[in-house]
Amino acid sequence: MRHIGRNDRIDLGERNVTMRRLLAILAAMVLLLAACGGDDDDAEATESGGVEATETEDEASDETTATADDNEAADDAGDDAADAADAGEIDREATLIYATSFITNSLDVPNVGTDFSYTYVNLVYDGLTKRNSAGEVVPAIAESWEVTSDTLILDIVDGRTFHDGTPIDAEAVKANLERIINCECRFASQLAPIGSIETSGNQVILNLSEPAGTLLEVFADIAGMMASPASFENEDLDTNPVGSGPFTVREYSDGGVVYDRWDGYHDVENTLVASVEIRSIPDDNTRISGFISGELDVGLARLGQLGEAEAGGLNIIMGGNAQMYILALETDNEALADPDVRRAISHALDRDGISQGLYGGNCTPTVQPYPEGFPGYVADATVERYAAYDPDLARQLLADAGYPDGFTISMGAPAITNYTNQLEIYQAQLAEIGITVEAIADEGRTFVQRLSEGEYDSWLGPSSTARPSTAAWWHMVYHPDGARNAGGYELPGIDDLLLQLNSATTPAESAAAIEAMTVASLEDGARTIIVCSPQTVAVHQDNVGGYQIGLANNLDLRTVYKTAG
Amino acid sequence: MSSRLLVRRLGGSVLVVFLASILVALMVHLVPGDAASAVAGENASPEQIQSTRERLGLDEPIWVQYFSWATDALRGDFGQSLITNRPVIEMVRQVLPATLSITLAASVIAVVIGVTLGGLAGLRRGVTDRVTSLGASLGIAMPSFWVGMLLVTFFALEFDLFPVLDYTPLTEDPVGWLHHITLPALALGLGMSAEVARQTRGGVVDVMAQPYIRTARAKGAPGGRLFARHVVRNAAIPVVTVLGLQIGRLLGGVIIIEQVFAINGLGTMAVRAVADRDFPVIQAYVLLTTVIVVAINLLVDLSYGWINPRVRSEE
Repeated sequence: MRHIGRNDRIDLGERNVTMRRLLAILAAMVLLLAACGGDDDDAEATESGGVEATETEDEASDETTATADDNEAADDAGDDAADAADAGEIDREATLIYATSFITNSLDVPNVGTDFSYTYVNLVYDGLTKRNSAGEVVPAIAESWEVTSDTLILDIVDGRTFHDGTPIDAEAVKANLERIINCECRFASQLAPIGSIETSGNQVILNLSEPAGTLLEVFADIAGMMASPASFENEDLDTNPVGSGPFTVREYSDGGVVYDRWDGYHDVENTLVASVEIRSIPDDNTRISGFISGELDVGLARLGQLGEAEAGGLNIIMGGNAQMYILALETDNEALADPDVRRAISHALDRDGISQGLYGGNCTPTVQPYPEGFPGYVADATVERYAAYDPDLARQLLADAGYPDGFTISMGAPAITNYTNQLEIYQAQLAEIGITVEAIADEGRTFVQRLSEGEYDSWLGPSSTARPSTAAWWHMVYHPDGARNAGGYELPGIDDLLLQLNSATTPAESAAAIEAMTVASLEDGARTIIVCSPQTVAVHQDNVGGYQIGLANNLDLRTVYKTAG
Repeated sequence: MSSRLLVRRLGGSVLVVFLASILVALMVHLVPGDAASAVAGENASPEQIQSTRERLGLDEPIWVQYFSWATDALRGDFGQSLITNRPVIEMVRQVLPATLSITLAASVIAVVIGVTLGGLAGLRRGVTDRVTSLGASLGIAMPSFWVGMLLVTFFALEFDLFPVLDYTPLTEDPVGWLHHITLPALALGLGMSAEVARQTRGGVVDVMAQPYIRTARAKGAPGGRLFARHVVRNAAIPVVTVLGLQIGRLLGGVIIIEQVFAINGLGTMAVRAVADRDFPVIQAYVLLTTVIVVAINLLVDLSYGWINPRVRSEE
C-alpha cells in the first residue's frame, strides 16, 4: 500500500479492473448482506454505532477575540477554489454530485437527528461561527466575540439576510438560540450553559451559568446554524429550510437532497457550482461502482476499497482527524474498576497488528483522543508507552490486581463488518492474557440503547472526540453523568479539568487543559481506551477540486468545484 | 367463474389482510421492553416518553389502538415517520413507482424468457431441453444481487452501456426510464425466468403426453395451431401458479436489487425504516406488500377458471 499523506491527491492506474472486480464480487456478496443491514461509512457508522459524534476543536490564533479578517485568512480551501476560479478553469454552471451512505432525517436544525447531517445542513445555513479546514473556529455570522468567565458577547455581522429576505441581526440570533434551548431535542443540552440572552444593538450577550468557552466550538456545529425566525412556524421546514447559506433546497427525498445556488449569498462569487446533489447510497460496493462509472463526482469510501478505487483510476484523498476507534470499559464491573486491569487490557492490544491487519496500516496506533497536530495532542512521546503491546506486562498487571487466571466480560459492538472484525481481534488478543470475552454484535440502535443502559461490560466503536466540542466529549466519557459512561467512572479531578477547559480564554490554555485531561486519564488507566486513528478516505473525479478532509471530522462541500470537461 | 366462488375467494383474501393488519397494527408492542421508550429513543426524558406514548395512542386499550390505526389506514393515513416527520403515505407515493417499475419489468422479462425457453425445451427436448434445464438450474441457483453485480461489471463499468445508479420516472423520460431499469429488471427477472422456464417445460411435456394431443396430431392438426390451442392453455396453470408465488419473492428480492443499483424504492425505504425502528413506515410497508401479494394470488386463483374451464366445474 502506498503511503498517502493528508489530503494528497493521487492519480492511479488504468481502468482495467474487470478481473479484480470479479474476484471482489465474491467478497462483496458477504459485504452486501451486511450493508443491507445498515452498513455505513466509517464516519457515518458513528451514527448507527452511536458511539457519539463530535467535532474538532480549534487550533488557532493566540487572540482572545476573533475578527472577520481571520475568516478570510484562515480558509485555505476557499483560497484554493478562488485561485482555480481566477485561472478560469471552473465550470460555475456545473452540478456537483456527492455520494454518502447516509440520509439526513431532517434539514430543520432542532429535528436533525445525527451529527453526520452536517454536510447536508451546512449548505443551507450559515453558523454563528465555523471551522476552517485546519479545524480552527473562525467568524461567520458572529464576526467577532469576547469571552469572559460569565459572559460570551457576540458581534453580529451587518447587512446580510436569510433566504426569505429577513435581516440577520442580534434579535434573529437570539430567537434561534432560544428556539434550540427550548426545544425537546438533543441540541438543547449543548447550549445548557447559556443562562439568559440579551441583545444590545448588533451584540448578543450570553449570560453563562458556568464557564463555557467551548460554546464557540458548538456554534460552529449544527446547533449554531441560524434559520430565518420568520420561517419557524412553516410546516415544511424539515424539507424546505430557510437559512442564509450559499444554497437553497430544491428537492428532498429519502434518496438525497438537491440544492441550488442562492444568488443573494454574501459570498456568491466563491460558490462555485450551480447546484449540488447529495446522494444517499448505503451500499459501499454500489457507491464505488458509481464513482468508477463516472456517475458520481466526489464522496466517501472505505479503507478497504482503496485498491478498487486505485484500480478504477479515481483520485484519492486521505486524512486523519478527530475520530478514533475506541474500546470502552464500564467500571461498574468489579474487575474493570481496577486501574491495573484497564492498563493490562490496553497493553494486550496489538495496535500495530490491528492497523496492519484490518486497515493496511491506515489506522494510526495511539492512546490519545486527538491526532498529532491537533490542539491538546500530547507531544511527550513517553505518553505513547501506554500503547505498548506487551502481553507479559499485561499478565503481570492482571496478577497484581488479583486476577492471575483472568475473568470473563461481555463486549458489545455495532453489527457492521468493520466493527465485528475488531470485536473478533480484541476477543483473541484478550484471550492471550486470560480474559474471556463474550462477543455481542447488535444492530445500530439496539447497540446504542444497550450501551447507554450499561448492558455491556465493554464496547467498541468509532468516536468523534471533538464534536460538538472537546469539552462535550470528555464529559460524555469521563464524567460520572456522561451519556457514554454507563458504569459511572469518574476521572479524578474531572470537574476541575472541565472547568479549566471551559474557562480557557486562549487556544494555548485550551490545549493545555486537554493535555492535562489526556494525561490524567492515562495515568488512571483509561476507561476509554483509544486504539487507533483511522484515515478518512474520499474519492473524486479528475475534474473535481477543493474537497478537503478537515481535522474537525465535519465534511464541508462549500468549497468544492468542477472544472469544465 | 361463479359468483359464489368469487365471493368465497374475495372473503378469504379480505380475511388474510384483516389478520395481517392486526399483526401490523400491534407490531410496535413486539419490541422488547416499553414500546414508547423504544420509539422515543435512547436519550428521551420521561416527559418525552409519555408524550410519545400519548401521541401514538399507546396508552389506549389494544382494540382502540387497532380500530384507530385501521380506520386511518383505510383512508390512506399511516401517520408520520418517526424519523423524518413526513407523512408516510407521501413517502410511499414517492418510492412506489420505482419499485413497481422494476418488479413489473422483471415479471415481463421472466414471462417472455421463461415461457419461450420452457416451451421450446418441452416441445423439442434433446439438446435444447438439456441446455435450457441447465440454464434454469443455474438461474435458480444464482442470487439476484450476484447477477446484478455481474451485470453492473460488464454492462455498466466495462462497456458503459447502462448506468449503475438511479431511476428515472417513466413520465419524465421514457427512454431514460428504460435505460435505468434494464439492468435491475434483468437482475431480478432472470432468476424468476428460470423458475418459469422449468414449470413451462414440465407443463408442456405433460400436456404433450396426453391422449388428446396424440389424437389432434393424428387428425393432422398443424404444429403451431396445436401448440396455441391445446398446449399453451393446458400447460399454463402451473406457470401461472408459479408466477403468483414468484411475485412475493420479487418483492423481497427487489429490496436487495434497489441497494445494488442505488434506487430509492420501497425496499430501500423499508430497510431504512427497520434500521431506524420507524414503525409507521414499517407498518405501511408490510401492509402494502401484504395487500399486493394477496391481490396477486387472488387474481391467480380467479385465472384458473378462465384458463381451464374444468377447474370451474370442479369447484
